[in-house]
Amino acid sequence: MNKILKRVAVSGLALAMALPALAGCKMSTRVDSDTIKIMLSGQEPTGWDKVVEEYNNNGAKETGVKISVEWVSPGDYKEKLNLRMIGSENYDLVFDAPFNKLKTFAAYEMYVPLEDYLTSGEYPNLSAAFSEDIADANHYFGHLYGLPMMRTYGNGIDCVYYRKDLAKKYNIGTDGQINSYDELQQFFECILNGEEDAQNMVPFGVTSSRGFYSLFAQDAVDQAENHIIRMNLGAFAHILLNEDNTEVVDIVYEGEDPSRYALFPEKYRDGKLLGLQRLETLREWNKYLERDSLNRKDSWAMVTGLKAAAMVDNLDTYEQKVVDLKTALSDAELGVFILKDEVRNMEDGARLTDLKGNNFICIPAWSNKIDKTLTFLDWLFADDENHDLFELGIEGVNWEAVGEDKYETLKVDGESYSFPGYVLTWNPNFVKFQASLPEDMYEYKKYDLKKEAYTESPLAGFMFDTSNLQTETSVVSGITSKVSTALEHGALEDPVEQLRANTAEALANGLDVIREEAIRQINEFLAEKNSDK
Amino acid sequence: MFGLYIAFVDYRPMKGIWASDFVGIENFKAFFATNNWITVTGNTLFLNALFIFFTTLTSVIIAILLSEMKSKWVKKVTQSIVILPHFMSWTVVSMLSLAILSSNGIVNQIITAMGGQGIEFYNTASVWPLILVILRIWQGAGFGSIVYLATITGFDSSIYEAAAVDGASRWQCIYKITLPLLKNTIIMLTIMSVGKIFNGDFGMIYAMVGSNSILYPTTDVIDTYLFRQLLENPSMGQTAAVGLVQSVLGFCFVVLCNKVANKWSPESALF
Amino acid sequence: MKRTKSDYAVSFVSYAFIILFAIACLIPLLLVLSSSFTSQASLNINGYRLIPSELSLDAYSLLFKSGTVGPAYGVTIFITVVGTVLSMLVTCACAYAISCKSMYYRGTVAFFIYFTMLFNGGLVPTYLWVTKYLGLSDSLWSLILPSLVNAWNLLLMRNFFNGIPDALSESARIDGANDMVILFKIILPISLPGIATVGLFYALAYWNEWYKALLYIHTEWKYPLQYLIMQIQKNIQYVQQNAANAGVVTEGLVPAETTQMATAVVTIGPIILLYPFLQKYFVQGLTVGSVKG
Repeated sequence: MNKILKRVAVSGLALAMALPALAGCKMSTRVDSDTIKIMLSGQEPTGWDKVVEEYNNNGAKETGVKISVEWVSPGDYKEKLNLRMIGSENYDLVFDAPFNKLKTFAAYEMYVPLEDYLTSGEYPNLSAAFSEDIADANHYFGHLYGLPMMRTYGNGIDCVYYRKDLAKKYNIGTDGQINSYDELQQFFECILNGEEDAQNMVPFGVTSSRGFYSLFAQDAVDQAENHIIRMNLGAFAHILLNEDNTEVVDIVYEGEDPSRYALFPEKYRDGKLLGLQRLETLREWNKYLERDSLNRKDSWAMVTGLKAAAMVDNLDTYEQKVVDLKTALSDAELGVFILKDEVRNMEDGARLTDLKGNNFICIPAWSNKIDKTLTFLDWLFADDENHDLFELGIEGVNWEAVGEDKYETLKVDGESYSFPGYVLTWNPNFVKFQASLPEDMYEYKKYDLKKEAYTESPLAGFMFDTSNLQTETSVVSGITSKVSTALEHGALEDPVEQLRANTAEALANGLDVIREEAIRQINEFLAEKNSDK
Repeated sequence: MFGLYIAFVDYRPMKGIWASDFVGIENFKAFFATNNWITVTGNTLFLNALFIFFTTLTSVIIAILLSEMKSKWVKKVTQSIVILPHFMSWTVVSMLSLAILSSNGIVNQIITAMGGQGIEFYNTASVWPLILVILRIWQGAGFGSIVYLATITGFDSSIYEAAAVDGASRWQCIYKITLPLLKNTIIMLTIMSVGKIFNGDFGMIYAMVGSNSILYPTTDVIDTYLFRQLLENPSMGQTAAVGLVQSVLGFCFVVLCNKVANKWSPESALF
Repeated sequence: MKRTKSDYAVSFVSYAFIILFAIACLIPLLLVLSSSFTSQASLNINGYRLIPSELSLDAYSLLFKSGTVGPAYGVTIFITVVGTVLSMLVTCACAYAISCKSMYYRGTVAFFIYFTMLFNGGLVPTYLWVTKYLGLSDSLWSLILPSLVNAWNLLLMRNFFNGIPDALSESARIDGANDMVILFKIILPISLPGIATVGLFYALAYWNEWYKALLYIHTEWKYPLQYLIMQIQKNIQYVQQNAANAGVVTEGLVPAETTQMATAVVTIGPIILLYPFLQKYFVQGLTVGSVKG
C-alpha cells in the first residue's frame, strides 16, 4: 500500500512539475503595441481565423492596427465580463449590453465616454454610421459609454406563428391566413374542441418567462399621441406629459386605483386601455395554454413536438421556423399572424421607438489604445467592403452578392460563416438580406429597417437612474415578481384585483419614493432637451 | 475574508473596497424591508431541515443495508447505481421532472388510470416540499451513504464476531453495535451541514421552480428571493450583506449544536 | 453462523429496499441515456422514452466535433491526478495533526477550518486574489490551488483518524517512531476506507471542475473536459438565435435538449467506469488485523 501511494505521489508530482513547463513554451503570445484586444460574446464563426488573417494582412495596412479577438460563450459572458472588468484586465474593446453589465459599469465610469470622439471629426465614418440622434438617445448616466449595435429602431416585428395546415382544415380566415385576434381565437377554439385535444395538443404554447408576451400589447403609438408613455419605473407605469411634452403631469403605476387616472384623456380613465383590459383577456385566454405553462422552457419545441398549434415570437426567425416545422412534420405548413394591423399593412409611424440599442461595443476606461481601437472601428464602418468582411466573411468564399442588397451564403466544408452581427457590426447603413428570403418577408424586413416606420417617443434618450434608490428598487422587484409572471400567463383568478393588491404593497414599500424620483428626473431631462432646441 | 466588508459599503470597483463609501446597514435594509423575509427564511429553514434529516436518515439506512448484504455482486452494482444521480445537473433533472409531473405526465397518467383525480403539480404549492425532499433524497442519499459505508467498513470486525458467538441476531447487531458506532460520524456530518441551514439551495430550487410564482409560498428561499430582488439592479453590497447574515446565523446554530454535542458525546463534537 | 427467521427478514428487507431505490435511481438515468441517442425532432414529438424511437448520434457528434476534446481530456486527467495527490497529502497531514490528542489548541484549529466553510471573501475578492496576487490567471494551477484543501473533507478525514485507537500510535511512539512514520506507516494503512472516500471526493471534485475554468482560464486548449462540453452545449442553445441573426438557416432542429442529455451522459460515464476500482475499499470488509496488535 505504502509503495503504491508513494509511487502515485511521486509520479503525480513529477507530472505536475513537467506540464506547466511545457505549457510555458506555448503561452508566450504577448500582445504587441499595435494589436488591440477584443472580447466578444458568441461562438467563434467557422472560418473566423481566415477573416482575421485577411484583415491583419490587408486592412491593417491602412489602419496600422491589428486585432486579437477572444470569443466567450453567451451563457458565460456576463459573469466573465464582470470579473475581467472588475479586475481591470487589458481589453481594448468589449461587447456589453443593458442586459449584461452596461448600466452598472456606466454608472461606475468604467467605459470611455465616446460622444466627443464622434463629434470631433477625427473618425468621419463613425460619425456617419452613428447619427447624432442615435448617439444622443443612447446615453447612460449622461454619456455615450458604448456604440449601439442596431440595424433597426425596433425589436423585430411581433407575430404569432401557427399551424396553417390546421387553420385550413378548420376553414379559419381566408384560406387559413389569420389576420385578426378574432380569427386567432376561432382557431384556438377549434383546436381546443377538435381531435387535436385528444392528441394532447394545446392551442397556444408559451414559455415560462414570457407568457403571452406581445399579444394584446398596449397601443404605444396611440398613447404617445395622447402624451402617455409606458415605461418600467420600478414597476410598469404610465407617464402623462403636458400638451407640449415639456413636463410631467402625473405618473400612474399599473394597478393603481382608477381614480388616479383623473388627469388622463377621457378614454383612458377606466384604465382598461392601460393594461387592465389586457389582464382580463389573458385570464380568459389562459384556457388555450397547457396547465404547466409557467415551467415550460421552449414554446417552439412544443410546436415542432406537435404539442401546440401556435406560439408567439417575431419575424426574424421566420425562415428557420419554416425549415424546423417541415423537419418535424412534412405535411405541416407555417402561418404568420402579424399582431398589429398598422404593421401588417406596413404603415408609417406604426411603432414607437426610443432609439435605444440593445447591444453595445465599449472601450474599457483603462485601455491605452483608445485611438487605435477607434481607428479600427472607423475602418470597419468605412464602406460595405470592410463591414461585410466581418459580418458576412470573405466575399467569394463565404458569400456572394446577389443584386443590390442581397447575398447568398456559400458553404465551406458544409459549414457557413455565421457571425453574430449584434456584437460588432450591426448598423442601419450596412444591411444586406439573405437572397433566399421570400418576397413578402423581404418587404417586411425592409419595412422594419425604415426609420419612417417608427414614431419617436418624446422620452427617447431618457434613462432612469436608480443608483440612489437601490434599496427601494430591490424591495419593489421582490414584491412585483410575486405576481408579474403569473399575470403574463393569465394564471391568476381576478387578475386586476391581484395586480391592485400587489401594486398597493409595492407603493407602500418604496414605489412611491421611486415615483417622486422619476418625476424629478424626467422633468430634468425634458427641461434640458428643450433648452437645446 | 476582508471581502465581508463589501456588505457595509457602496461598492465601486474603480475605487476598490476600502475607498468605497461606508454606508452602514443600508445594504441590509432591502432584504428586511417587508415581511417577505420571514416567509423565505422560514421556507429555507424548513426545507433545509427536511433535507438534512431525510437524506441523513436514508444515507445511513442505505449504508447499513449495503453492509448487511451478502451478495457481493448485488452490493457492488446497486452501490454504483445509487451514487449516480448525484452527478446529474438540476437543469436535466428539471427537464425530466416536467415530463414526469406535468398535468399529462406519467404520474398523473398513473393516478387517473387508477381512477384518482389528477394533480396539477405545477399549480399546487403545497405538494412541493414533498417533491423537493424526494428529489433531494433521490439525488443525494446514495452519494451520502459512501461516508457511512466507509465508516462501517472501518469498524473492527471482531466485535461482530463476538456478538455472533453470543447469539445476537442481525437486527440486534445493527441496533446495538453499528448504529452506536456510527453515531459520531452522523452527528459530526449533521453539525457541518447545519452551518449552511440558512443557505437555500439556489441551483436546485431555481431549476425546479424558476419563475413560477404560484409555487413561491412553499419554495421561495432566501437565495431565490434575493436573486429576484437584485435581478434588475444587481448590487454586490446587498448580496454580501444577505450572505453575511446567512453565515452568521448558520454559525450561531453550529456553535450551539456543537455545545450540545460536546456535552452529550465529546467525541462527535466538531471543535 | 446460525441464521434466525428475523435474520432472513432483515436480509429480505434490505435487498428489497436497496433494489427499489437503485431502480428509482436507474430509470431517470436510462431516460437521459436513451434521449441523448435520439434526434431533437423525435424527442420533441415522443418525449422521454426508455427505448429511443429513432436512433441518432447528432448530440454526440456535435459535442465531440470540436478538435479540442483531446487536450481537454489531458487537462482534466492532469488536474484530477495532481490535484487529488496534492490535496490528499495536505489533507491527511493536517487531519492527522488535529486528530492527535497531544496537540494543543486542536479544537481551535478545527474551529477555524470550519469557519472558512461559512465565511469567505466572496466571488470578486477571491477572483482578484487568484488572478492579481497569486498571478494564476490562465494557469492550470488556478484549477488546483484554490481547491487544494476542502474543509469538509479535512474534517471528515479527521473523523476517520479519530476512530483509530490511540494505543496504536502510542505504542509506535514508544518504539521510537516520529509523527511522519506514525502517519505514513501506521495511520494511513489502516484508514484505507477513509482515504478511499476522501480521495474519491477530491477526485470527483477535480474531475467535474468547470466553474473555476470559467473564471480563470482564457485559452481554449487549457479548458478541462467538463467546461469544454458545457461551453459547446451552451453554444448550441444559441446557434438557432444566432443563425437567425446572421441570416443562416440550419437544417434540422437544433439539438439543444439532446446535447444537454448527452452532456449528462459524458459527465456520468467515466464515474461508472472508474468507481468499481475504488469501491472495493469500502464495500469489502477490511481485515483490520493491525488494530488488534
